[in-house]
Formats: sequence, structure tokens, C-alpha cells
Amino acid sequence: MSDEALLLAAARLLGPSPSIEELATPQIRFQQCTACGFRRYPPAPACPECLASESEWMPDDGVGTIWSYCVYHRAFDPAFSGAVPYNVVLVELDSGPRMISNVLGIDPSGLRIGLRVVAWPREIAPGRFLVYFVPGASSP
Amino acid sequence: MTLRRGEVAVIGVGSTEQGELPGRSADEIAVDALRLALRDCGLEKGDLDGLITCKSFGGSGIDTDIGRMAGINPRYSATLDYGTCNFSLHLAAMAIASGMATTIALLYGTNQRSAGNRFRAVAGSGAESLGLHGFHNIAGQGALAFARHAHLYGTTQEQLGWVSVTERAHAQLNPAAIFRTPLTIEDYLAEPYLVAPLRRSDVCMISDGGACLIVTSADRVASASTQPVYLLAMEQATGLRQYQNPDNLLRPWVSAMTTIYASAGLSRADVDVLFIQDPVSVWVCQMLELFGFCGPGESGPFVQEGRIRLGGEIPVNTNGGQLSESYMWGWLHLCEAVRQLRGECGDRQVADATFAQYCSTKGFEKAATSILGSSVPS
Ligand SMILES: [Zn+2]
Repeated sequence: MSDEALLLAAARLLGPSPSIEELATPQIRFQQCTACGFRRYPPAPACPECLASESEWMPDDGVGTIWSYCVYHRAFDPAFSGAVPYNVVLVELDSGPRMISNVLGIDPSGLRIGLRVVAWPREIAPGRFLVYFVPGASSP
Repeated sequence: MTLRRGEVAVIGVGSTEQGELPGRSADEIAVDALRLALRDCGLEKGDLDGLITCKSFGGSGIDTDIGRMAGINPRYSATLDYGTCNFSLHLAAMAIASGMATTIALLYGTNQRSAGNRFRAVAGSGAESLGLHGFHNIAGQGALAFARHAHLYGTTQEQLGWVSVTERAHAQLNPAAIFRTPLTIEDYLAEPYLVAPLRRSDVCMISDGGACLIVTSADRVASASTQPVYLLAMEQATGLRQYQNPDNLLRPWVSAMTTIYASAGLSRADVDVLFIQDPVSVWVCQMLELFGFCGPGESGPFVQEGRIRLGGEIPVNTNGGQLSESYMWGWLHLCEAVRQLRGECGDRQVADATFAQYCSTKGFEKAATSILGSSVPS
């Protein structure tokens, strides 16, 4: 897998997709409930903890741990046919949210459960950022 | 209102040819299954006063459409938006116990193979970014779940392979199964990865077919020509918060349903044959552990040692499961459970099968289980 092929696949799939708030900034951030402080992921109109609707987007340090990972050898969507084999990981962020993403800059043999990773948002289309991860505690 | 043990019984089953049924709509196939189930139990369609259908690929399977096609005006009808038949069976039992209906047909039909379902859907729901990360097909969730299990307990890929190998061996004894060519553990390990650590044989096929069960109240079973199979107990649980739940891909909340054995009036060891809905082989391992057929983390050795084989301690998916018989979203598991309890399964019959359990899930969000019996424990 080349990281570029993976970003290209995401861009292809995104297409002229309407604005997804999640993708709007070059930093990792979550809606934080103004009532109870819970960090929502995925984005939601109400707090799944206390049901309050008010929230503000808060930056996150994006540091977390790989809960599990897998490697796609088949592209179920043709947009990803140039990207196989590519990894998909479930990351548990230290701040709470659990995210599905890809780890960039790593050979599949280097992946392991428990690996510490950090978010690295990349611009996949003009003004659209997707959160990827890289090993370590600070992004490139 | 509590459902009395054995208050409701399955009296009819029907399953169509499975595989590729080109040129037929999903609803036509469902009605074929209805015809077969009515013939099975000797009832007429006019005897039905309930219809519960299951939505299928492409938006088919709606009760109002199928009722028109089948030419029936039942008192009660409904459509469930998710399969496995367990949820449909439970809804039917509630409708019968509450007096909404007495005799209900549960129906599912699909033409998703012929209609070209590529299973490109994102694995899971909620975040719009899932697809952008290439997290497609349920194999992705299965692979993450198995990799975690392997990490926690040392479960090997070979151990997991025994699930698919065992189900294939069962399918070879089932003339209706689609995949009947032998599959050895060596064959399995030689397969390329689909989504590592899973291989092709760990993930169910895509197929066309239909299935129907006819359910009635215990006081009406004499109207059928078949031996009744009683619903002894039913349980459901959910993990609707999905990724907000810790370890949700391992579905820890499923284990709450082990109260079903007491409700059914038996112990887990009394279950003679077990059915586990298996879009991915990993689900079999999870349910064996969550329902306590083996200890936490012990499913790998358990399946490798042949304990889920016919003749083993607890035969699982004697029909071949979704991995080898057909992908009918779990509906054929319940058909097979009924046939096992009637003693109709020929070469794959579990000797003296009296009690069967069926465990199924809807994604990582819902789960259901039922215990059926050819007799009702007092
Ligand atoms: Zn809140």
C-alpha cells in the first residue's frame, strides 16, 4: 500500500459529497457536550450521555492506542482497488472516542494491538480533511 | 405478560432452492417459500391471520406488497427491517400471546445474488468517514474482532479455520447446501487473505433464496399435520450505543441472555444442537463463549477439538450455516432447528435431538436467542 493511493481512494469516494462537519478542519476535534463534557464520536445532534444538544468543537491531542487492526487484500469498493493491501485500525483515543481509521507510514508487519498512535489529519480534497494516524506521540 | 413455556409452536417450515434464481423477484421467492411451508403443515393460506415479513436487499419484502401478492388479508401484519428470523419469531410469539393473531407466517425472500449485491456497504454505521477509510463489508468488523481475540487469548488462524471446515463437513450431508465440495484445514490455510486475518471461507457467500416458518398457539397445533416444535424461551439484548460501548466488536452485552436456560426450564448442557448465525466465522467463536458453551477465550481449542462437529459435544450449524449452506440471513438456521427436532435431517440428524438453541445478531447492535423443543419441560 502507498499512503498516496489510500488518500486518493478516499478522495474518489468523497466525490462532490456535501459538507461533512467532521472533515472541515486540518485538526482533530470532537463535539464536546457543554453540559457534561462528553466527547461525541461520531458527530451527533445530541449528547449520547446526557441528551443535551449544545456542544462545541474542541481540539483533541489525538493520542490513542490501537485496539485492533486488519489488512484489506480485496477492494470491496472499486475506489480502493489501487490501495490494496491497506490497513484499517480501531483506535481508542485517550480522551474517550473510538475511531476507525488507517495508520499511514507503516508496513502491515509493523502493526500491533497496543501500539501508540497519534492523529494526522490529511487534506484529501480541497478543504476536506480526513483523520489518519501515525505511530508515535506527535504527528509529522 | 410473560410468555408461557411452550405457549407458541412452529408447525410449518418451507425453504426454496438456494443459490442463483435469476429472473425472479425477492417477493416472488418469498411467496414460493410460503407455499412450501403451508404444504409442509397441511394448512391453507386462509388459516393465516398474521404475516410478518423481513425487508430484504433492494427494499423488497414489505408486508403490504407480499400480502397482495399472496392474496391474504391477515388481521395482523408487520415488517422487520432486520433478519435472522429470531426477531421475527419473537414478534410472532408476542402477537400470539397478546391475542393479535393465532397463526402467523414469517417470511423472507431475496434475489441479492442475481440482483448484484456486491456487499460494498460500509462496515458499521454512524460515522460518515468509515467508507472513506475503506472499512467496507462485514469482513472488516470480523477481522478486527478476531485479531483482538487472538491478541487476548492466543487464538490461532488454524483454530478459527475449524469453524469453516466443520460447517463445510456438515453441508456435505445437506443436499440443499450450495457449497458441498470438501474443505480441509490445509485448503483453508492455503486460501489467500480476504481481510487479514480472515480468508474467503470465513465470510458468507451471497445467494438467492426464500424461507418461511408458520407459527401458531399451542392449543392449535393439532390443526397441523406436522409434529409441533415449541418455543420454550426467547431473549433479546442490544448494544445500540455501538462504538461507545467498550469492546463492542466482542459484544460483551450478549452474555446477559444466558438467563434463557432457566426460562426454558433446562440447563445449557441439555441443548442437543446449536445454531449460530454466521455471516463471519468469528461469530461462532463469540457466541460459544458468550453463552457459556466454553469459557472466555476458549473457543479456539473448542472448535479445533471437534466439539462443534456432528457427533461432538454440541453440534453447531448442522445445515452448513451461512458459510456453506446459503446466505439467508440466518433464516435457514431456524428451519434446520425445526427439522432437527422433528428428526427429518437424514445423514446429518443429531440423534434424539430434543432441544435446540439459536443465537443471532444484527450487526453489533442487536442480538436474540431462542430455545426450541420437541417437548416442553415441566
Ligand atoms: Zn452530555
